[in-house]
Amino acid sequence: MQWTRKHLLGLEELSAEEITFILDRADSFKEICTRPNKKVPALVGRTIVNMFFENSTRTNISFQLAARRLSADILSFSKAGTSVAKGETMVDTALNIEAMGVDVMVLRHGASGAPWKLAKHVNCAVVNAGDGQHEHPTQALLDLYTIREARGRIAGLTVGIVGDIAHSRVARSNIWGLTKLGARVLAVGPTTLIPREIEKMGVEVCHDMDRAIRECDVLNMLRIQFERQGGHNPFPSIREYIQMFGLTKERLRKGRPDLVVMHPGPVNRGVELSPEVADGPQSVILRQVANGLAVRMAVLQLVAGVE
Amino acid sequence: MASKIFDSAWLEDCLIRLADSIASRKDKGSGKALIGLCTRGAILADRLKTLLKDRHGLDLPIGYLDATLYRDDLTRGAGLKPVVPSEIDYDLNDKDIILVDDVISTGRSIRAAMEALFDYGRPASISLCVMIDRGGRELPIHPDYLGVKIEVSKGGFVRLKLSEIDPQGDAVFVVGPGEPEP
Repeated sequence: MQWTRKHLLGLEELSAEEITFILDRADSFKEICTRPNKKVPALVGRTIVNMFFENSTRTNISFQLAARRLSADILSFSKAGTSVAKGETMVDTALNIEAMGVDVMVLRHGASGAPWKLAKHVNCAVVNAGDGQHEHPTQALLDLYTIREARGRIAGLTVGIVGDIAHSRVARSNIWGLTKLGARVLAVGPTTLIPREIEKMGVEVCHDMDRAIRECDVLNMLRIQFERQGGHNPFPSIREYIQMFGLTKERLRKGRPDLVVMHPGPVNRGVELSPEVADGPQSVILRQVANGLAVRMAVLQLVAGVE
Repeated sequence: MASKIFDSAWLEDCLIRLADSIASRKDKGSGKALIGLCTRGAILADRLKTLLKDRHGLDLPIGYLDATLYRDDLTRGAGLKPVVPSEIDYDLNDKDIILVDDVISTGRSIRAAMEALFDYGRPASISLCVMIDRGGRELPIHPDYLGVKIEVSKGGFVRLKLSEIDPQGDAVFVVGPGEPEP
């Protein structure tokens, strides 16, 4: 196939073939990242702008480095210290930046759907780097890439997504990607953190962590987003959550020996994961970060090439 | 309709001649090494490696390169087709690199390949081995080892098929303007 999309907004709208196309291309960029000279001239003379209306360390740096390794020029701005803080709207800010001659905008925004709105108003390519509680496509792509690398395939695997699914754009994008590629997905967590009707996305709900550990090939442990709970406690106490859903070394022994442990970061150490598990041999957390770079290089190179 | 102009016997003779010619060339650096350009150049490089070993006792290191990301026409769609990871497991510093490809025309993919190679190191020399030169050069690049030169009319092209991946087996087709792929 040949890539035809000008924007990467979410995995919901991508076909399995398109997702696999990006993952295959990331293989080439991963090879480039292992060379002494980690740069290719693919996007020489192109300009990419990171527009981050929400905090981010990993994703922001990953996109910046990806752009530089493609030889593109990249600018980055965050909400603080810009006209956004003076009340300018996102679209006005974007149109002003685009007027300076930009080829790709990478947007992170607290409002679900913001990248779709931006894509309607600008002529350049738009990449969603996380919108509200909706989608985070490049995180899901790097998760899929890491699973495929660790287990050799995605179809037929059982993948547990554990924890704060209600507030997680990572979970939603992962569910779209995994189900499209033929994995069985378990949504694992307390009822208060699993959205009602999530079964409609093609996943099974499971409230029993030990059962999930026994059945899964991969566990993707989500961060409890304390800042998004809107003042409500989704569970009686953190200690109770850890007892029911925290992944400890002892608990992990009940699963298959090659069970893969993932986390999109940032980790609340001692909550979702015990430090021994986060740093243990079954954890691929740092591989996820390394793969993220290759996946984002692939995405930027593809969207920047579509007229 | 595309016309078949050469078959597997021709290709075999041609590769033997090229291998002999490569073996006879004196090294400038620390030894010869092969780089096949993906996809068909890589297969041809494999075959040359076998011939160089069997006929001349030369066991050359081999690597595979996809130079798509170095092309100058990325924005015209070339960058949206599949790419494969390059595989160069040897140190190419001070090596005499023989770059292998199936067909040369404008010379732009060879330029891209040379740029890519320099990102892996500084070879002592690079020479170019291609099966078919179909003319139409746009850059000052010419093969050092050549199978055959075939002039095709504007808009036409040449296709080399290889039994490893193509159902037609080993064959060379000339395709006229507007004719379908063989």
